[in-house]
Amino acid sequence: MTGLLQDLRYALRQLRKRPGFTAVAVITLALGIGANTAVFSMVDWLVLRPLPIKAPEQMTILAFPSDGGNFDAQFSHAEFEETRKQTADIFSDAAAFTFGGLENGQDGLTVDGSTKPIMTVYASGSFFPTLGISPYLGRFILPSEGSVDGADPVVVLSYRYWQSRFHGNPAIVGKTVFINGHPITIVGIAPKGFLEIVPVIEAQGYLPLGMTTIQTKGSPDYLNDTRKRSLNVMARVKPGVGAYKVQSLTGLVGQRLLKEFPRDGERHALQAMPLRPFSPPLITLSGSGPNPIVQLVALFMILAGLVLLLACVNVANLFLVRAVVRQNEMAVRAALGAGRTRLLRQLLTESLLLAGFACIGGIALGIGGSRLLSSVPLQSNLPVVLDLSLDWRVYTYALVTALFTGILVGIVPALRVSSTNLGEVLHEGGRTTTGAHQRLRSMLVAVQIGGSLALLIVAGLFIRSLQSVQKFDLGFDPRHVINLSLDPSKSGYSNAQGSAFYRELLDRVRAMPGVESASLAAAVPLGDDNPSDRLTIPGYAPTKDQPEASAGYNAVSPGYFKTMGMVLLGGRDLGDADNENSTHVAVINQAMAEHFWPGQDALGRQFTMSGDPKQSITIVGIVRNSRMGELYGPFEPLFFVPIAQHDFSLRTLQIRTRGTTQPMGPEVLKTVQSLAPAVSVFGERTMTESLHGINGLLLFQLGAGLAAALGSLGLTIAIVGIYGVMSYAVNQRTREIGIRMALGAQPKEILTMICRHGLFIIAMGMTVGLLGAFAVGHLVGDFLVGIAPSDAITYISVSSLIAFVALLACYIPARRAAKVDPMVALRYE
Amino acid sequence: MIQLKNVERSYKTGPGQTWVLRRINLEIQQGEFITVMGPSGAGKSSLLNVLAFLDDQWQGEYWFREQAAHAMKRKERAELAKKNVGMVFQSYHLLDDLTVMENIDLPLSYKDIPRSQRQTLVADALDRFQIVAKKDLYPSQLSGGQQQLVGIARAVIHNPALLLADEPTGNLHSSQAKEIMELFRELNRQGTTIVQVTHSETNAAYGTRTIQLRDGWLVGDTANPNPTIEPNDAAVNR
Repeated sequence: MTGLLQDLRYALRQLRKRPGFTAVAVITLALGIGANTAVFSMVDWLVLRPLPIKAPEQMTILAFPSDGGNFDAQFSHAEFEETRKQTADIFSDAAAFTFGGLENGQDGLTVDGSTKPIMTVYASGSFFPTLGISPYLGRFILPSEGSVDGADPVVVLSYRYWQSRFHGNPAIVGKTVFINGHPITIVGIAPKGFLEIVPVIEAQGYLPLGMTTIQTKGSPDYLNDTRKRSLNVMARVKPGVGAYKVQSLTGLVGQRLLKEFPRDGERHALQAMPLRPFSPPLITLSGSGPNPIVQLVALFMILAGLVLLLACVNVANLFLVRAVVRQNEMAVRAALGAGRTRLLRQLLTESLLLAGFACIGGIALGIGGSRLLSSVPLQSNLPVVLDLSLDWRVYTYALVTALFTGILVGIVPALRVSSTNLGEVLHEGGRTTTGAHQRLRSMLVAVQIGGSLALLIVAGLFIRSLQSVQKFDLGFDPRHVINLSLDPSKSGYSNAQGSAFYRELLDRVRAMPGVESASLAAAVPLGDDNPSDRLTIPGYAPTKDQPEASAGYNAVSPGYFKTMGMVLLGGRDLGDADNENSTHVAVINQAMAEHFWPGQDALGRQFTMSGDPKQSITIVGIVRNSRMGELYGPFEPLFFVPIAQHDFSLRTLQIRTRGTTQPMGPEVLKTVQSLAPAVSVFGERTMTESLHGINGLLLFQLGAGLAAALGSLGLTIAIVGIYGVMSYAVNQRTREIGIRMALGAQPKEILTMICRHGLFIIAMGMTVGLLGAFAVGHLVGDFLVGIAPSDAITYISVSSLIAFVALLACYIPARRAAKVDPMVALRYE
Repeated sequence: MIQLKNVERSYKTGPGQTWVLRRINLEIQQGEFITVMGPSGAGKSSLLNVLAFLDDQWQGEYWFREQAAHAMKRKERAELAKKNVGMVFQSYHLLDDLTVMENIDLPLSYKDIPRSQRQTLVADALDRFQIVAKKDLYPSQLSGGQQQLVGIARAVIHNPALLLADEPTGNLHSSQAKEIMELFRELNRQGTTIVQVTHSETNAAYGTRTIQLRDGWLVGDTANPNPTIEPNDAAVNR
């Protein structure tokens, strides 16, 4: 123990006496550890962090796996009750819930005349007992509640919603409020930190399952309708019940369910899968297939790992230089009785201490980085929570990374210096340096150049991909357009009252100074909701390989195309005459016309939507293709119907202004307030902001930004590395240079000699880097849009940049060598 | 105490070999003060490195207090050296980052000696070499003579049976050199066996026996006028 303390004391003194070396090494490693910590906080949030519930490892979610890695995790209420009954031997309890209710969206909570959106979960009475959590205040939904339509008007609020909307006022518990205009009593507050089981979108209110009637406008058939499958089912495995028994019985129950309640298509055996944030069946709630965010985070973990590796290589190189300088010290220590293990221990203590300091710096940088990532504006109407706070797993990761780093950077130099020939070193006063040392350092620098080249090429590919997406034709003009979303039904308005409110609002807004045009739409491009429907088209018969006819759609008011700057190619625009009493009409886009009526005139043709199969819709106009759900890829079939002919209570008011969009927001809010004080406006943002949101460019910008940051970090580290090694090599060769110059060598020849050495390292590094980039480039191929993973422009420009910077880092010490005074150099020792 | 039998040492130089020690046969008795002399390149420092167990690439037999060092593993030899050998260097080889006290403590820190006992031993050494006032100074703050004093204190702190000194006064002026040599004589009187390498006849006079090396061969020994060598072969490289 005393020896360890002594090693630690000497190590501290070593680092303190060489502040330059210490600072460079600590900063370099801190950058590497910090980048890894920040990226790992995403991994923790997405994959590792368990749900804040009792014994989360016992929790499962039920799903029928289907082909292609997808899951069918939706059940009817009858299926849930049946499953619960038949699995009582293996599950201590089971619960059903539906996120966002039947509308898969937000409700409106009205308190004291003010309505604000609330993201709700409708859950069976067994929901909270199954999770095994206790309320922060009041009570949860009782086991007896939720099984009768409309019978239990209670709500439990989330802690965050309670804090943000009611400032943590405990008196709110017991108060009657209105959700979608229905009186409901707040009975409790959920525990702090519990954000529901899909932790990206916060569940802000929990209502009994039977209260879905407030979304179905009082229709009481939801719980009894076996065709309506919108419930997820989770269950807690009884202690002591093995996985095999669970899967066997679940599979059996699944077979009985399929017999009693048949489903379309082939289904595999029902499975009980571990309930984790982002577990596959839950991801299918928001789409199918593997989660691209998880894949992207995994990719950035690899890139951050590469940055750390470069940092380690750099510091290992510094340690190798120090090892040469300290050969004499180590030889003396060995001559005085220090064994090899003891010398190794002392040198590793130094590198670990350094890594310890870097760990502190890295965690600070990681906290900064994860805060920066958490604060990215997502431009979404949904309560998206990016909780990248650092917990013990992230700290442990940072510590383990630092430990690994400390050993990695210290072990090779320590092994080398501890195996030196003592007699030789002591006799020569410690001025020996070997070619092997120099070769190893050169190799490490080549690795740095290669690594940073690979990193920068990946960053370049992401940036080029972003540029490519930015150049895509949107089909509309996003400039000077402001969007404001409203939903009067959430304040208890009937359809007729809502329509009247919107009509009046539109008239008033259109009369405002500076407004060029205004219109209403059920959905906005790159918004949170993009409706689509199956269509029946007379004369259209899909081939065996083709899916059935479907298309995206939007319900819009007259003036929509003008507001969005969309071009009508044929037929007519939608007008005021297209109301609920007139013939149902639609304007379709080019892609739809070409897909369903290739080579024909689509105007005047008819189709029906699955929601209302008796109502024919006549095509009256064709507009230019425009983007709706995705920024890239081929244009999808899309049609626009008059909002007056379709029931959408949630609408977005879109205003095109003549100048800037900034002063318009407050004016519109005032107008809404004067018209309907209870109706609140949410999601007020410009079309350009939406374009940069989570459904638009955000992921591309994040990817490009993060990759560019990691790439720049790698490049900086590589520059420091090559400059350091070349400088050291020049210093080591000062005497040789002096002799050469004394014998007649010209500065130009010295310059060439030194640069040649650097060029060799650069060429070696670039060869490795290009091969590495080619491999990594293909890994990122799925995330690139509009460019190939082997994009020649990226490869050539990044390689040229690296070559130029590396040559410069090599040229500066070479020029210094060429200016050496032979007299001084020959005295140099 | 020490017996070297046919000890040889060579280095690989390109395709050939350069011999620095040739068939050395030497016996050192407990309490002797031996001076090793000879021209540069004669093999003096190489012999000292062999005796100190710093070098383990030699051939032949090395008996230390009846123990066959030549048959030992590297670790065992290091252990033997740690217990029995102290070294004094021409260029002192004090560690720049450690104070005088910490430099002296260094050999003890590599042994399993309790901290309190180590402190007592270091305090005794500081007293004995009259450098108490310098205990917190760093080597760069001392004169050459003072540095060598610290070097000797460090070499004898663990009471070694054998003290090896490689040109201990090489970097000192004559008055400082005299002090150091007086100190060696005193240590020898107290029972320490000393082997010193020097070019100085004056320093050699402090010793009890002188051996001469030339081109790696032992060519003279005041204790043994007929050393078992072949002088005519001395210049021949095998």
